[in-house]
This record gives sequence, structure tokens and C-alpha cells, in this order.
Amino acid sequence: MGVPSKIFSIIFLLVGVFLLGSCVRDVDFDQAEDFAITPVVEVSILYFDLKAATVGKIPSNNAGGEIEETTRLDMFSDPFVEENLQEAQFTFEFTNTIPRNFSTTIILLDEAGNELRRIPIFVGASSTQPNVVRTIVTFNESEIDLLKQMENISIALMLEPGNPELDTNSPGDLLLKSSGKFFLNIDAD
Amino acid sequence: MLISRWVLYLAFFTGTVSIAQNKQLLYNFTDIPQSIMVNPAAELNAKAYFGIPALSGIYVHAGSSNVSVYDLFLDDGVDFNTKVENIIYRLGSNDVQRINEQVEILNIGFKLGGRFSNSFLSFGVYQEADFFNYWPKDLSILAYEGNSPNIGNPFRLDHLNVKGELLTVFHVGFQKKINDKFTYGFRAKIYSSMVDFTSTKNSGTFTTTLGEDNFYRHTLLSNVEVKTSGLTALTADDVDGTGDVLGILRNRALFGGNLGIGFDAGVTYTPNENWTYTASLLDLGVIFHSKDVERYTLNGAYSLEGIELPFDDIFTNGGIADNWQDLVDEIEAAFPRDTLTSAYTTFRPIKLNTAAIYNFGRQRSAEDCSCMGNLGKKPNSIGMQLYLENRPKSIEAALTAFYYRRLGRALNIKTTYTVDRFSKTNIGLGLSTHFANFNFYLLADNLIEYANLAKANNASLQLGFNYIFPY
Repeated sequence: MGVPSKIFSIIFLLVGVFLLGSCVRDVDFDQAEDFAITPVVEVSILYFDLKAATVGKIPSNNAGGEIEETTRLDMFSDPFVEENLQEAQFTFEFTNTIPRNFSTTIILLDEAGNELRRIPIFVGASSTQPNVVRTIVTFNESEIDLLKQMENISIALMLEPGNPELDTNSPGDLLLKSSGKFFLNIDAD
Repeated sequence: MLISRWVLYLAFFTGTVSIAQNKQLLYNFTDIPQSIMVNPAAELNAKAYFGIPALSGIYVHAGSSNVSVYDLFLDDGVDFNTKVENIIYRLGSNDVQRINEQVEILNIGFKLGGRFSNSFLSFGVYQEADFFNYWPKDLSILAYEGNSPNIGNPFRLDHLNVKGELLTVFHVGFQKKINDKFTYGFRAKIYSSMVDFTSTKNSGTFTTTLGEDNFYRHTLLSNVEVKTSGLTALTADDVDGTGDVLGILRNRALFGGNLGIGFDAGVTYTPNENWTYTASLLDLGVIFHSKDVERYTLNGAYSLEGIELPFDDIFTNGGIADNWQDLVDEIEAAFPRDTLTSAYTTFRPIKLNTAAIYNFGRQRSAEDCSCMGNLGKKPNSIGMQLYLENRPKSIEAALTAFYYRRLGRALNIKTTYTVDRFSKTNIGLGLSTHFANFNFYLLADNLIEYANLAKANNASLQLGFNYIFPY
């Protein structure tokens, strides 16, 4: 065996050791199965500005009156939301500058119009200051499946009997702001 | 608003490896015929060579700046999601994850005679895959935290910057030695792109701010486009299994893909026996994508505070419009989601190599050995190399110091120390062996991390077999 071939053998040995010696150690790729992230998404939902002058169109409104509106709010039927939504928290904030009491009800409905949840909120008359009523409604992990069926939302505004009677020139508004805070859990499954 | 999970996965798991295309060990290692691929003016120590088909040049390189496989998958009992969190807050939008792979299918070169004496011709085919991603920092934060803790902070869509391609390269190179001091070379390339996806020119923001009529105002300004070629045919319904995919790719690997042209050029200048200077410019090229193109765009601007219930309509219009559907229609009108099939053009990443080399040591005479054309060449070299590569948001740079030693007929070695964004401790070793006209070479960098590659931010390996006709 000549010198070159000896060198050659040594090199191949070195290369072999080199390649075998390299490795990926102390790692556990199965950890990826634990992957989970928990983003919190906050979005505005419904809002309105109901003017006292609009309520004033209801004839003889000192005896009371009712306005109701339903809208589609198909936020939860998306498969991604369906799979990953863990908890939800809604904030409804009424601001009343009308000197009359309102009994409001927010109703969550499924596709067929069946009631899922009824949220009554009393909004008292404002005197000199705007009357701000903030209500937080939480759907925890055990209740979230109910929310996922929601496709429509209805708001009923019951003007309670009382004075002054409102007309088309009455000042003031009943405002609603609302938002939803959605806690997601996106995992590796 | 929500980033789908696969995007995250892709980001993480490609984020664990990165390869750079800096071939600091191969550059100027003229005992290895493949060095002519990184400098068309590399003066090979061979009259002719041919690569053993499919085994002559196998190259892989992966790199990930600022994070390694170890950081994410170390088996240390720390909660995996804590590590994910650490990485999300550590990485910036200029951190990159990259992989490059090349396999030579054919590589042949020979010295020309007659009126083309002092000229060298080489040609061949190689296959290349290249993936280059900038960490989508803001999108990862949005996916990780959601918008809730980030009211008022815009999420930047330009952080989405990714490019991947799979192509075959046909090339022919010509080299001319003008005199003892000066050699130039160039190489023409035809690219046949099998698959391409490019999304590198995005802009826009998604911001949640405090609203006026409602609690929050959500604003999306978007100018985002993902261009693809070669993907739709692979994902079509009638494509069944790996066999079909490979069949389609094989067809495109020849000239059936989207074609492009490119150019390499290089010089070697040796003013005296002690000094050598080299430079090369690679892949000055363009690919025209016209077959099987799909481009997805999301361009528009929209602000939203939720759904307004227009109670006034009850009285004035006698009913209520479908607010939800109106909103959905409005948003869809604001962001026309187009799928275009018009042609597009991509540029290959241009690479620049330069080196200054000092040669020293006792020259060998013909009696000492049969040094295969190394007569008159000094056995030791030290030098510096600078590598630059043009990428969408950055010029990737690497500085290398090296020592080269010729150990007689059978063995030549080159060691390198390289500094780049991935590592400040990158030591490389290259071996080129010659036995019975067979050449085997092995080049590997990041040897310090070689004992546990999981810790490496960056590693490359190149090896191959050639048959050489010596002088």
C-alpha cells in the first residue's frame, strides 16, 4: 500500500468520523405537539345613535313605546373561530342623554331565530349628566359553545311610560357602543 | 385579521434552519473543479475533468439568524411555549431564515486547443432550491398576542417578505488566460423554473385605534401580493400522490418550466507569484414566469367601527337594511381579492465574491512530486474573501479569512474563519483529495457547532466526486 492510498484511507476515516460525529443532540422535536398560542382579539361590534327626536315620532310616547332591530352577526360560524374560540367577553355601553328611562334587551339568536341568551339592561333617564351604563357579559369555556351558534343579534329598546313626552325637536340621544374580546387558543392538534 | 396556523408553522419550522450560499470554502479552492462554478475565471489544476454524474456536487446550506433549532427544541423541561414566546420577542423583521440546496447532475470541463489554446470550456446542469424568508415580526406578534394588547400600534404588512424557488440550471462557461497575470471567464445560464413563489413587495398596516362612534376603529391598508408559478398544476385535483408531482417536476426540469437567462463573470489577476486577486459576479439573471401563474392580491383600504344599527330607517324607510350583508359587501368591494394569471418576472439573487490572496512557501520542483499543474505554485496561501449577496431587504455580507495548504499530490486543505450575520464563530474546513485521478472533496463549515448541529445558526456542507485529467 503506497503512501497516497494510506493518506486516502486516513482521510476517508476522518470523513466518516466527521459525518458520524455530527449530530443533533439534546433536542426533542415532539415538543412541537405542545405548541399553543393564545391571542386576544378585540373588535367593535354594534353601535347606534338613537336621537330623542326619532323616538319623538312615536305617537303618545308618554305612554311608552318600543323599537326593535335585528341584524345578522355571523362572526362565529367560521371554522377557525369555531375551533379556536375559548372564551368571549362582550362590553355594551349605553349613554343616555334623554330624560326618559329605557328598558333595553340584547338578544342573541341562532340561525333559526331561537333565543340563545337574553341580556336585559336598564338605562335610566339622564337628568343633568349623561347616564352611562356599562354591562360586561362573559361566555366562559363551558358557555362558549352556546355563543358559537349565534348568527343574529337583536336589540329591543322599550321606552318606559313617563314624561316629558318627546317630539321631533327633543334634544338628546341614546348611544350604544359595544365590543367583543375574544380569547383564542390555537394549538397543534 | 387572524393569521392561519399553517403560516405560523411555516414560519417556525423553516425558521429553525437557514442556509447561506456563501461558498467560502470552495471559492479559490482550484484543486476542486467545482470552484469554476463560483468563479468562471478560476484557474483549475486540470487539463479536463468530469463530475461523476449526480455525485459531483452536492451542496446544502441552512441558516437562521438569531435563533437555532436548539433554542426551540432543547430537551430541558422548559415549556415549549415559553421558548416560542422567547423567540417571538427576540427575532426582528430583518432576521432571516434561509435554505439553499444544489445538486450537480452534470459538470464537464476541458482545455481547448488550437486557436483557443489558453481557453477552458465547461458546461453542465444543476438543480437548485432556494428559500429566503424575513421574519414577519409584526404578523407573528399579531398572531401571538392578538390586537387587544396593541391598541394604537400598527402591524406592518411589509414584514411579510418571502421567496422560494426550485429550478434547473443549464450552463456553459468560457475562460481565457490572456497572459501570465490575467484570466477572465464568464458563464451563460438558462434557468428552467419548476416552482416559484414570491411575495417581496408588500406594504400596508393593520391598526386598531380608539373609535369615535364605537369603542374601536379597525383600519386595514393593504398592498399585498403573492406571486406563484408552477404551484397550481401541482395542487390540482387530479394530481394524486408524490409520483404525479415528481412526474410534473421532472417534465419541467428540462426546458418545460418557466425559462430565464443569467450570466456569471469572473477574473483572476496574479501580478506576481506572491499575490493573487479574484472576483466574480454570479447569477446576474432573470426568470420570466408565464406558465401556470397564479397571483393573489389584497389591495385596498378600509376602516370599520362595527355595524351601525340605523334606527332612523325604521321611521324614514319603513324597514331596516341587512346591515351585515351590506358590511360584508362593502369590505369585499374595498379589498377586491383578485387571482391574476398575468406573467411576472423575478430576479435571481446576485452574488459577488472577491478575494486577496498571499501565496508563500518553497516552490516545489518537478522532481518533488507530480503536482498536477501546481508546478511553480507556492504551497501555502492566506487571504481574505468578501461575499455579498443581494436580497430584497438587505445585502447579505460575509467576511472570511482563510489558510490554504497544498500537501502534495493527494491532499489539499483549506480552513476558513467567517463572520456574518449568523455567526461570529464559524470555522470551516475543506479537504480535496486526489487518488488515481479521482478527486473527492468535502467542505463543511461551522465546525465548532458540528458536534451538535442543533446549536448552529448556520451550517453548510458540500461534497462530490470528479475524475480529473491532470497536466
